[in-house]
Amino acid sequence: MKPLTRAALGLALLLGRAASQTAPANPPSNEDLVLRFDVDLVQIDAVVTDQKGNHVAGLSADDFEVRQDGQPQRIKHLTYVSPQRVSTAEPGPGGNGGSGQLRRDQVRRTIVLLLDDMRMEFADFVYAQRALTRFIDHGLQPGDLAAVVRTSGGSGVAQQLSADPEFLRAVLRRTVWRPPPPAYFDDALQPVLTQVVWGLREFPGRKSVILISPSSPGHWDWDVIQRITDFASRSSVTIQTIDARGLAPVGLPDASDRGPRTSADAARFGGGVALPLSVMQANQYVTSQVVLRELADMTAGLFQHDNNGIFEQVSKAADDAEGYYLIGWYPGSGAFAGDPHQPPAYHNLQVTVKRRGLTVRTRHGYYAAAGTNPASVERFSPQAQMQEALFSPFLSGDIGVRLTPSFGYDPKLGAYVKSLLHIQPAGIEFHPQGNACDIVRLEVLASALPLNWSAAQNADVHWRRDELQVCGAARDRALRDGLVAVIRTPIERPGSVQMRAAVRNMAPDGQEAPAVAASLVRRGDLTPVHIPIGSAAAVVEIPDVAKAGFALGGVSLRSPGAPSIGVDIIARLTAEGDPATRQFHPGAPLTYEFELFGRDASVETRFQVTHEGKAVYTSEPLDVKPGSLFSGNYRLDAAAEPGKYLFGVVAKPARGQGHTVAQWIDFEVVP
Amino acid sequence: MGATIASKAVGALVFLLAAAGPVRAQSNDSPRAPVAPGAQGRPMSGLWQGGSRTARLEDGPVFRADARRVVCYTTVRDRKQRAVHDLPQSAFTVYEDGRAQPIRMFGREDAPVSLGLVIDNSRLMTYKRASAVTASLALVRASKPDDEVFVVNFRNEAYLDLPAHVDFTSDIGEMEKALARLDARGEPLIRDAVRLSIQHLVEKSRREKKVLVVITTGLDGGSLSTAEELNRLARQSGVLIYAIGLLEHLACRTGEARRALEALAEATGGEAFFPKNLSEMEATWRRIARDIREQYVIAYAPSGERLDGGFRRISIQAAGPGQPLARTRSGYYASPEVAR
Repeated sequence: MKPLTRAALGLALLLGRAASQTAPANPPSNEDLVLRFDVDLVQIDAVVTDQKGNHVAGLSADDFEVRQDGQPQRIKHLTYVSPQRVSTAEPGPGGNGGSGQLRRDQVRRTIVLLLDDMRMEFADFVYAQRALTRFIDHGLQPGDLAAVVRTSGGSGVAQQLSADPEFLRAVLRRTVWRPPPPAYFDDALQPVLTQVVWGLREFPGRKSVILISPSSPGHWDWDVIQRITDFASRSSVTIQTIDARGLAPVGLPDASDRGPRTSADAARFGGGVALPLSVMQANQYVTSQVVLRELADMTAGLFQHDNNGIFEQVSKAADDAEGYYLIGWYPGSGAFAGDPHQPPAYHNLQVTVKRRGLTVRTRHGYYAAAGTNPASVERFSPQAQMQEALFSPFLSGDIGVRLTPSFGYDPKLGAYVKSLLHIQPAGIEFHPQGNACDIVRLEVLASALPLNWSAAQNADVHWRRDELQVCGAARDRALRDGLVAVIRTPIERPGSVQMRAAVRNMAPDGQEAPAVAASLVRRGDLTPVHIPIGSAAAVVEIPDVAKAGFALGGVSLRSPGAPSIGVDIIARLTAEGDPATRQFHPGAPLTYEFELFGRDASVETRFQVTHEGKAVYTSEPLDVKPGSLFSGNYRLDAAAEPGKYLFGVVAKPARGQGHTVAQWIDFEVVP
Repeated sequence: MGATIASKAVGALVFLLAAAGPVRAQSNDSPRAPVAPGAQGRPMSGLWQGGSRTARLEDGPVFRADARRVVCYTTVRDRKQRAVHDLPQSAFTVYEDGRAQPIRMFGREDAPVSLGLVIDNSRLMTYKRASAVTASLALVRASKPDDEVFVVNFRNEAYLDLPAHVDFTSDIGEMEKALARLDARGEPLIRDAVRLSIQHLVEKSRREKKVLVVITTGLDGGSLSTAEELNRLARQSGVLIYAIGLLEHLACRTGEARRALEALAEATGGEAFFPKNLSEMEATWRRIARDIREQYVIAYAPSGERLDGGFRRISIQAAGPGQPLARTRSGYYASPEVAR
């Protein structure tokens, strides 16, 4: 390199570094803020705290010392990353739609609450469950994407991440303690943790797994810990661990050895009383924490223990993602050299901060295998991409869609969900036919997943492929307002289900990419092709009509001139005040529809409109006959404030005792 | 011009998820049309394009395969499921469509094997990857230096996990690297993966004896190939297929998965196993490894000359102490393209 060039590069680096240490006007995107392990750059994260445990920002490269295998490294790059707080997670175009999902650019923190309940005592489980509920109520912030995962219940992290506290609360409510299953192929924590990390690797930025475990299994090999933590590091995942047993009963034995007592006992009865243990028991106790300690330590996380305040510990672990440094250096090509047929070498790292009173937490090493875990996975066939989109917690925002599921019941066929999928025009491919008509080819997938569904379970997918010809004024309307697809999904069991839907444009006949390659392929041989997809999700409650005696369904809201939700067609134009979009002006007349299922005719039914949690209108009892679609009208107040509203139908037995049932649907008042 | 909108279901473009599987596809509007392999411009495999291959003598024993010679790898067990490996040729009677056939070749040699490990890497294997890898490594380690092995990890795509230009390897380290991939995502296109693996074995292997070991949950996530097509291909190929079904977490689909794997394995003279825990898993791979080594090779020339494409049912009876039971391929289709 010529001296001038080198000097210029040095200046550029210097300027870059200076710029990176000040608050940039345009902060780097989440996609850039990941760990790297490449031949040309190793980049790790580091959390610096003061003596009170507060995060410390404003340090420069000179404040750090990095040693790799004992050799000092020259820091080439330092950035302080502080996730931007957002006031609200309002969806943009093609976004949210009340689904509890966020677009990638809306995510501030990604947190998986991993409950190792397989070996948890009942009391510890209940205590942890309460603490997590409290965290969801008070600890989650706008822009947080969180999941509750249990080792006994599957690792469906990629299916359960949500920004909707109500969804997370519902998952927790349905989480019950149970003894471990009789036959398990693998130790539960190890594969579930690996799977969770795997599921998170595609998500932007730095992610946290908060593992709440009663103790660590004693048979984890050191190699396993190293591999999992290295995998986590490459996936920009920090593992925060909490010993669920709470206050430790450590100490020397007293004269009257009362035998083993658990910390759960202490938490329940002692409220912080440390019970003495024998030396052997104390050793076992400390040994049992080794894996938890190492998992945290080697991924720059915190290991919190000997504390009954699980809520506080979870909050602290979540807040640990608030600010961290990315430190990069050139490791030299020798660091990645080696026999390709041998496992890659492991490089030890030691990072220290020179300023007094400050502590740094960071990874302890890395394998000399170049590359992070790819943020983009191999995606080839349109079918595979649609399946991925259908089960992904992220909205696929290439095509703006909004999902409106509605419960329905057929006495012969049973329960079903009818979903309206409003497809925004920008994502629809219109193929001109040369006669004032266009052709649109759409594929829609839908699936109803129980809230505790995990990736290891089956899923029924319903689909439809439609070709529409739109002509003249209809084409103009479709180009302006988009289209609505309708898909009906049978439901086998009552309970909460999350409806998922995905839509894409199909290629003309004969031009669809093959779903399966013609022969075995080697990784990297195929060129990934991204196709635009839109996806959406929404939770819908499926009542047990037979058990409850009556149920409500089919609740919809539309302008009087718009088509009814009861019209079961393949796809249609979007209408003004469509039940799929539900946007109305102040003073507009609304038509509502719903159906009362069951044979119990003595039901008192009303409807209610709420805004910001307050009822703005409650109707008189309606004269509703079970088994038929009920329709009525309501006019919005001319002075109705623009914003989000809820329309609900509430039914309860007219006489005697019984459950009140309700179905709600949101709508928007626009100026 | 008035506003018009017309819609129709696209019948010609058939959605590719099978009716039964971890992702079970159902259309609201039109019944699922059958999908033939090779649809959508996909070329058919060389296996069905005919043409005989000249085996090299240095590759080991060759049991000549042509339209008039049918090779049957045969496993014999007694009533207690113990392997019987000391029977003479005279103890065996081969039947094709119920008619006894003269045996033209008989042997029990530990011949080199081309072994393919086809491992389900889909999301349904979330809890089972470790077991699958353990069994696969054990099988690889039980192989002989002359054997050649390949690994296929499959989900939506079937990956040959070997370096570029390497179709098989005897390198244990290479195999371990291939097996160590962390994955478990996507949908399991089992039938397509097995079909492509059979194709790879038939086209690329140098060993006469060809074996596939498929480790999977057994639930297919929408392969192009149907079960009937795959079973037919498996029968014709002469490839022995062993299936290890890990059925946990499949809920009500266990029976469906079990039947699919049993049908596939039995069509080729292989066997399906369904271990419930690690010790059963160990017993399973030990038995497969032993089976592969201890089989009799019986070849006969069918007395029926007609190559009408019809199915010829094969059964082999073994006589001897302990009432031995012989297991072999269930039959073949008598077509001119038959290579075995």
